[in-house]
Amino acid sequence: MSSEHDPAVLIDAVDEDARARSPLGEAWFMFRRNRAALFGLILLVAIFLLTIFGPMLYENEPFRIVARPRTSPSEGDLLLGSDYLGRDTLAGLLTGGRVTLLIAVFAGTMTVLIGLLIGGPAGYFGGRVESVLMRLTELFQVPPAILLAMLVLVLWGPTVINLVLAISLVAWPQTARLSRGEFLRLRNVEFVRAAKAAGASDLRILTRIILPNALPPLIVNATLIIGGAILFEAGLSFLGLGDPNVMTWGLMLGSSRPYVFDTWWAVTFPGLAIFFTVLAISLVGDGINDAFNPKLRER
Amino acid sequence: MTEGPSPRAKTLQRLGRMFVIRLGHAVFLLLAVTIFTFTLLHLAPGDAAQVWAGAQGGASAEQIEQIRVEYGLDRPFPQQLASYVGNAATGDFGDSFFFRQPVSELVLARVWPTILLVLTSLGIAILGGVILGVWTARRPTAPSSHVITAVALFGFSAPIFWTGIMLLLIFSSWLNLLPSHGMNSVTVGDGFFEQAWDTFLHLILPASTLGFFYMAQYSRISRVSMLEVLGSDYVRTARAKGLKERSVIWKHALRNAVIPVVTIAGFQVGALLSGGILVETVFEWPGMGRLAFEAVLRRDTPILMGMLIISTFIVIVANLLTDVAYRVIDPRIRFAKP
Repeated sequence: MSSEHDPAVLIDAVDEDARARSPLGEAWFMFRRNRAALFGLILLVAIFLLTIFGPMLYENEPFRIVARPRTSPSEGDLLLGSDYLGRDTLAGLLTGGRVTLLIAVFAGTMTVLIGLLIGGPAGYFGGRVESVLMRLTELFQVPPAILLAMLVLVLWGPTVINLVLAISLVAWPQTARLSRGEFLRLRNVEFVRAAKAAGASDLRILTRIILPNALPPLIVNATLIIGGAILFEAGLSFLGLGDPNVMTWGLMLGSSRPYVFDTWWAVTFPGLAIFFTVLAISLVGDGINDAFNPKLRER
Repeated sequence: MTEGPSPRAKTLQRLGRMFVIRLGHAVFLLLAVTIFTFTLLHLAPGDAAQVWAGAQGGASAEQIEQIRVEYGLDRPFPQQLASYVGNAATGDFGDSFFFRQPVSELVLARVWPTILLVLTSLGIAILGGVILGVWTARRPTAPSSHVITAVALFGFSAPIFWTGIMLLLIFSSWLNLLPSHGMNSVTVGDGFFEQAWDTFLHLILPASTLGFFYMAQYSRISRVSMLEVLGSDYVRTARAKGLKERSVIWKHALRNAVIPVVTIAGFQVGALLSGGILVETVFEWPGMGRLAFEAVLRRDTPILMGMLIISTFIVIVANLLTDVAYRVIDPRIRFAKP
C-alpha cells in the first residue's frame, strides 16, 4: 500500500492548514468565512469606535440645550435635529452610546460570573447542592424580569450601578442553567475522570479543567446577554427608571416618547442605534457559535 | 392474563401523582417569591415604612406611623414577614398610597386587559411563527427563507417598545388607520358588538408589536423541529404511501413539530408579561403594565410588590398548565417511564 492511500496521511494533508493554528486561530478561520458574522463584527467595531471617539470629535453636551426645541434634521444645523427641549440628538447618540455599551458589558460580565458561580457547582456536584442551587435559580427566574428589576430600582434608586445590578439580577438564571448543563456534561468526560483519578482537587477540576472547556457556549451566552442588556436597559429607562443624570439611548427614547408625533427623529434614531448594535452583537454571537460548533451550522 | 389496573389507569395515576408533586412545588415557589419580595423591601436603604409609603413624600408623618402599626413594621423582622406573607395568602397586599385602594383590587381591575393582550399576542406569535417556520423548513435555501430568517433576526434586535412606537407613527399618525392609545374610544356606542369591534381595533397594534417579537423566536424553533421531523421515518412512510405533500406537512409533520413551540410558549408567559408592560405603556393599554408604570412614577412600592407576586402566581399557573398539557398531548412523554 502506498503511503498516499494511508487514511492518516490523507487526513493530515487536509488538516495541515488547520493544524498549524491554535484552537482560537481555527475558530477565527471559521468565523472569517461567515459573511454575516463578519458584517456584524465590522458594524460592532464601527459602533464602538464612534462611541469612544465620537464625543471627542463632536463636542456637544448631550444635556445642553443648543437649538430651538423640535428642530427637525432638515431645518437646522444639527444633523439629526433636536429633541423636545432643544438638545442635540447626535450628541446624545454618541455620548449616550458610551454609557449604554458600558452598562451592557458590565451587566453581561456580572451575569456570566453569577451564573457560573451558581450553575457550575450545581452541575458538577449534583445531589443536594444541585437541588438547592437550582431552586434558588428558579426563584429568580419565575417572576417577570422587568417587574423584579423595577422593584429593585424603585427601592434602591435608579443609578447606573443599580441598573447594572438589576439587569444581572434578572438575567443570571439563564446562564446558571446553561453552566449547569455544561458542567454536568463535562464532569463525566474521560479527561475529567482522569484528572480525578490522578487526585486533582474539586476546585482544580472545576477551574482548570472543566471551565476552559465550558467557555465557548458561555461566551456565546455572554454576547446574547449583552444584547439583551441593551434592550432591557432601554426598556427600564423608557419606564422612567434610567439614571436621569446620565444620557443613554434608553433615556433618550423614554424622555422623547410623549412627543413622538412632533419629533419622530428624536425617537427613531436612538432606536435605530440600539437596533444596529444588538443586531451586530447577535450576528457576532451566532458567528462565534458556528465557529466553535461547525456541525450545528447545518441547522 | 393478570388482573390489575389497566395501563390507562396506571398512566392516569402517574399523571395525577406528578401533578400533586408539581402543585406542591408551585406553592413552595410562590411562598419563596413572596418572602423574597418582602425581604427586598426590608433590605432597601431607609426606613421601611417610609419606603413603603413612597419615597416621593406621598405620606404624612401620621400616615407613616399608621403604616408602621398596621403592617407591624415596628416589630422584629420575622414577625413582619409572617404578617405580610399571611396577608398576601389571603390576597391582601396592602393599600396603594396614591390610589388609596387595596392593591389587589387595583391589580384585579387591570389583569383582564393584560391577559387579553398577552393571549392575543401569543396566538399571533405561535400561528405566524409556525407558518413561517414550516415555510423556511421546506425550502431552506430559497430566497424567501433567507428573508424570513433575516426578519426574525431583526424582530429580535429592536427594543419591543420602540417597534411599538414605530408602528404607532406609521399606522396611527401617518396613515391614520388605527387608534393610537387606550382600549376603547370615548365616542364608541353601547352595543356589545360595537364595543368589541372597537376593542379589536385598539388591540391590533399592541398585540402585533408583542406578537412580532416572539414570532421571530418561534419561527426559528419550529423551523428546527420541522427540519428534524421531516427527516424522520414516519414522514418518509407517509410520503411512500403516496400521501399528498400538503397532507404530509400540515397533518403528519406539523403535529409533532409544533410541540416544542407550544411548550416554550407556555413557559414564556413571564417574558410575555414583561414585554406586555412595555407595550402597554406605549399604547396606554389599561392593563397591569400601565399600572406598573404609574406605580413607578409615584414610587408606589405596595403596588409593585403586589404585582410582582400576583404575576409570579400567573406565571406559575401557566407553567403548571403547560407542563400538564404537553404530557397529555404528547404520548411519548405521557407513556414514558418516569
